[in-house]
Amino acid sequence: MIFKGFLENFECIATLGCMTIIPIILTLPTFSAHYFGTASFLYAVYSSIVAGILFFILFKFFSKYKNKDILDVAEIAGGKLLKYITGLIVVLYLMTAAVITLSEFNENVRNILFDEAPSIYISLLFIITVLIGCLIGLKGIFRASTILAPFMIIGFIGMFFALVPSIDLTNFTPVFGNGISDLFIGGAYKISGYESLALLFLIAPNIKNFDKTARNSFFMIAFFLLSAFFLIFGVMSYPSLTDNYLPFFELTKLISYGRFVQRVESIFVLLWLIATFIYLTIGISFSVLILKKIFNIKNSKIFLVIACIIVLILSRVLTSYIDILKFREIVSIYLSPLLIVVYPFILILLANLKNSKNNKETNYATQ
Amino acid sequence: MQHNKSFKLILLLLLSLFLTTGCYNKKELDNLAYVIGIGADIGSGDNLDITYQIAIPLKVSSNEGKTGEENFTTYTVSAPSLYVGNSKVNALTSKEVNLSHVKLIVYSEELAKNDLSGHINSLISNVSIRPKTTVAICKNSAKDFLKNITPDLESSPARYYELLFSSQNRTNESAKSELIDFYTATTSIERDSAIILLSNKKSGDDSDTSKKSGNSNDSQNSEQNSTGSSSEGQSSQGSSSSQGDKENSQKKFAGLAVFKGSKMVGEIPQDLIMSHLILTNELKQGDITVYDAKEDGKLASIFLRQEKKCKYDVTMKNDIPEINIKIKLTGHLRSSTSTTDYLDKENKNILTSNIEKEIKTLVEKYIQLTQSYNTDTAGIGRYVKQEFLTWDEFEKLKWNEQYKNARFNINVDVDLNVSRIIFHRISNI
Amino acid sequence: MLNFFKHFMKNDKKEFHIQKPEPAPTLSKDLNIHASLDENKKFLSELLHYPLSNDVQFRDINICINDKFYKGLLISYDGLVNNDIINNYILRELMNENNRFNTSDSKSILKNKSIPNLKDIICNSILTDCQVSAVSTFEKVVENILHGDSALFIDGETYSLICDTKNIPGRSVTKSEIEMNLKGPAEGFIENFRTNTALIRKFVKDENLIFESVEVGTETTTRCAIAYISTIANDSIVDEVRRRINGVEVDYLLDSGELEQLIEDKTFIIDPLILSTERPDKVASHLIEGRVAIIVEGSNNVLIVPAIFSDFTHASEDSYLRFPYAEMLRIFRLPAIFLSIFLPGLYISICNFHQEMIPTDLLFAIAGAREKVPFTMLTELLIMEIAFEIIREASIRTPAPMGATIGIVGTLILGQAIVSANIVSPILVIIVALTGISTFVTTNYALNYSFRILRFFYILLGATAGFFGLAIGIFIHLCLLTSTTSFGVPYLTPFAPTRKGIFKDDLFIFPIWKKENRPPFLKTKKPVREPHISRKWDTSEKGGNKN
Repeated sequence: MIFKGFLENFECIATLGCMTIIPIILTLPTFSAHYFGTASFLYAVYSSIVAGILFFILFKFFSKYKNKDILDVAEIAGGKLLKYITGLIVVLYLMTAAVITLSEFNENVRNILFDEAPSIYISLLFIITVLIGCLIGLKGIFRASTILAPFMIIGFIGMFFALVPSIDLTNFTPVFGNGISDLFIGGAYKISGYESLALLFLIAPNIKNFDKTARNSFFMIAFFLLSAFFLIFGVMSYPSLTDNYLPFFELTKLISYGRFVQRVESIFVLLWLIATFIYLTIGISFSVLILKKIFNIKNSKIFLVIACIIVLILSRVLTSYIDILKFREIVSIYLSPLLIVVYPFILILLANLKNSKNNKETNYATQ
Repeated sequence: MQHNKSFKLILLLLLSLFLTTGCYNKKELDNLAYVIGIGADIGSGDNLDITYQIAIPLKVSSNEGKTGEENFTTYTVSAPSLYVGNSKVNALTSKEVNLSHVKLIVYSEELAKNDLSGHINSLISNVSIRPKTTVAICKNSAKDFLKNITPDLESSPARYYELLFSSQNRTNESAKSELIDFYTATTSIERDSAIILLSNKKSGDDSDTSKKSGNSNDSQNSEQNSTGSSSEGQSSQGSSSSQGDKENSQKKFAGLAVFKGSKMVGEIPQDLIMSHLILTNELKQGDITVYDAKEDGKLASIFLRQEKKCKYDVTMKNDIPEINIKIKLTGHLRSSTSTTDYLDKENKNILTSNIEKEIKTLVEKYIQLTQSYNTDTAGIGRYVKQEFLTWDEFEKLKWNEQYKNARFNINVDVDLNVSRIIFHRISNI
Repeated sequence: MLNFFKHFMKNDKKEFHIQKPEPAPTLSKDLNIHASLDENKKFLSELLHYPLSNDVQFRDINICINDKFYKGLLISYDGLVNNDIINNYILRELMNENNRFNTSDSKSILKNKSIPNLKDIICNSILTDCQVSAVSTFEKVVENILHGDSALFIDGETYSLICDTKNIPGRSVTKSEIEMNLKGPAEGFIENFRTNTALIRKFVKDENLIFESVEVGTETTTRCAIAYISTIANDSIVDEVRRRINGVEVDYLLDSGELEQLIEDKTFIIDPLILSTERPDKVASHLIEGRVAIIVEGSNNVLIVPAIFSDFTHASEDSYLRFPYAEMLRIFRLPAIFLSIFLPGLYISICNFHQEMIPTDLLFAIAGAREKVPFTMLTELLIMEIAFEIIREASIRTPAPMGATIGIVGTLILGQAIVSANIVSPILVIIVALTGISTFVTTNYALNYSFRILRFFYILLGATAGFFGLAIGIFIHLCLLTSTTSFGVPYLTPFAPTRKGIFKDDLFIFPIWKKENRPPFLKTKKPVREPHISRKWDTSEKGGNKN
């Protein structure tokens, strides 16, 4: 167990849902417009199916270790050393994701809201809030997202009703976009929309009903991802989308209910900001908690502060928007499927092998 | 104790939240000058003459019964781009310019015929401008248009624009012309854009306008000025009565400006706007006047509504698309000057076929005209696109060059309703 | 000059100074009662500072039983006791030579058997007071007479008889003044402990309703009662309440408000964590739900634990009204709560940062109205909010006859003048007024206070960073609230953690026959409240639940 206490099913589902919002509002749609063109919605559907199958298999294998997190599994598979390595990889990945998200969001918030402010100011606001969130505790964060998630869903539904008249189904054609092989071979790997689902490997022991939670989380993420892609690629047409690095925001700018309610994008930005806080808080808290677990640290509060400062400093290093995008592409498109699917899969397989060996040698159940 | 410590830390952090805040981007609402209209004309050298129409909130919100004419002021600056223009206007006005409530962006025809891509890009990447702002082309100087608007019915010029440019919901005299649509169309290869063409000539100067625009299309344009005259046997009488009674009233809508990419290449006369609306599935309420089924010289006015979208069937023949367009409209007979009994099926059928013929000619004219410009303003390319599996294949077709070669078969189906509360019949005595 | 100085010095010497006190001799009360009445009297007069303290009554009497006279002493506090009871049912009976034991018949009975037990005779046969009990230590004696009982000492006996003579002055049961309802019982609690328990018992006629007595305070002990229905309430909650109250060590406790602060989970959270009410019907309904109530002597507010956020927003009226009416109230209450916290913050962040959100016509109206206002919007808003708070506070503190004046001056004249003097724009007055009025839709004043504080936080956040600031505030506020528990129950249940029945009784209200279960988070002994079909008379196919 990485942290104490049990999580309700909906707490997990909502948190994972809120975390999925981040890649959606940031550059995932733009990347997919680059890769798949007009077939992006088809890609979303296809990658959902692929991710669903992959995670289904993965969770089936994992179900033996329901009350263990991935670090424990690594320990079973390869002893203490593998546990350390796994822990460090996860920490590194979480921190990188936090840094990229912070600097990307920082840049976007500056463009959207504070074009006159120095970007350090926005970073500071972000990091202080996140630190407060970390200090309050993970339980609060998970629960806070249960309140946020319904508003997200309401937001999506509201968007849907406002944008339905502008959805042009011809935007989904040509059906296969930039090529069939690109879509079905390249698309199978690009399942980073579901990266937050991998958090389940870390919180598995805290969940009462793992299978149900995993299934529902998947559907929640799929709902967010598919509806977002449907709206973005239904309303905006392909070539102009490739130039747009914040398409979801542009989409909210189009929302209007009559003459009175227009330009309500700030309300959505408010929701996304809270989701970002949740995302960053979870990233930083988990990195510290994993370090705490593998190195048996007792008082982790000071490490939270240090982690926040590290993230702040690194995000200051990464200031050029082009660099951020490149980095984002490498990490979340190319690296994350390796880390969220392939690596756990290897660990679980190894653990299974070890287990069956042990079972043969000594006839008692491993703990 | 531990708990207390972390509480103190949280409190400290909360405090620092306020301390680190420099209140950036905080703007007092009343220290801003709200631009409601932007106009751009060709200026001297590389510069543009950018006109800012700024509302005066104190006058707009005051209770005195002023109309909108006095409630705004205009500034014209010479600047290479909108961004520079903003700072120049900031120097001219006492307040800071805010573009978040711009309702109309108008370019002069001259400027549009050069190239608008740079301007549109800077507009679309400006966070504060609404993507649904109306973009229009003005036949004459945009500055004059903004200066001389006459909002008689409302005190706020912003509301005047909003209501004026939503008139496509009520009439078939204007079309939707939003910035985001314009931008999408200019960047896409499957369609071209047509946006509202405005004219600020007074009604007395109409003949002048028709001469000018007559170059592009003779017959259609002249017809709208001469009320009641018919161009081809059956034609409209009521459709061109948009001139107001007032002396100073302007003829606001003068058709649509047709763009190839971001360059204006021609215009669509006003009576063909209905065809544009039908083909883009946006006809909310339209009127058409045709000759009576029985009695010569008598007219019948029909209210048209598009309840079903047009059906486009595309077949590729030797790389040239052949497009069958099925138009389905619902009509209501609103008034007729004759005594013909339209409850009679035969009469009704004659009238229906008259309407269908009329619409078909209108649509055909529209397509002919756009083919002559080689601009797919109705966005038919979107339906052609459906026939392809991948983007590359579609790109190879080069639709924006092929449009002029495409063949169209138009099929109009009007479902005429003759239902009224009182059937007024005057017997021939 | 020198004289003056001398005078000054002289005066200075005469000035009164509080001397450092000598430690007061404390008498150990923990002594057993002596057999000798004189000893007892001496000790008690020292203990009770008689006759220095002038409301202590020492009444020497001679008790006549069986022609035998016993010396007696009756001690009580004047004013706390009902003198009629003492006169008629204690003194008269004790001193009457003609009482039953002095008649010839009884004499004969007693002759045969010697008096076995003086206590029994006095308690059972002579005193006609309803509650008489014997105690053996001075501590108990003092405690009881301080609560309005009288203590009877008899020479030669090592106990004291405590007679119930309470008549503690206080008001009678009146309408509840703070929590207003249109429908439903109007009675409110008063400051009398016994009356309060009686009021609760009146609503909950259940022998399993237990008023468990606990005492708080070292200097003066205040009696408290933990009330719960033993067949419903979860024992661990009761245990926790008992543990917390027993763990309180203060010198005195005046009101339940003080106890509330001593036993609540977190002090620095802005929202209230314990429900405090002055309506017996509300307490009763919560007891039946399975919660625990704490009654404090001398307080007209009863505490209910555990309390969750949605409890504070409910009025007890909600379940008395017919379902559609109550539903309408609930639906309007939600946006009102939202407005009362966020409206000024939203207004200022929209006006200062997100001007594009305001519809153009409205924007011109606001900008036009603000044209002559000299202050920034934040100053303007703070002026108005602070003025509003001052008016509200003043109208509570002013004596009732003048209260109306404050209201008129505050709202009409000040509001009118402040607008016409161009200090505040009229739209802002609307905002502040709407916010202020929205605060009062919740009947719980503790929640009102929290809204008023939170509102200022959100104003500051909104003014510093617009919606970004609001997002920060909402995030931190949410995290704080969700990580808080009230007696083991997460504060935002059933929203976070999400539980079934959000729509049943928390967000909205369901018809009363739909309330089949007690709140699941209380983990009661009887989770089911009523059968699935509670309208059994309805003979249609689906029974009462059809409509």
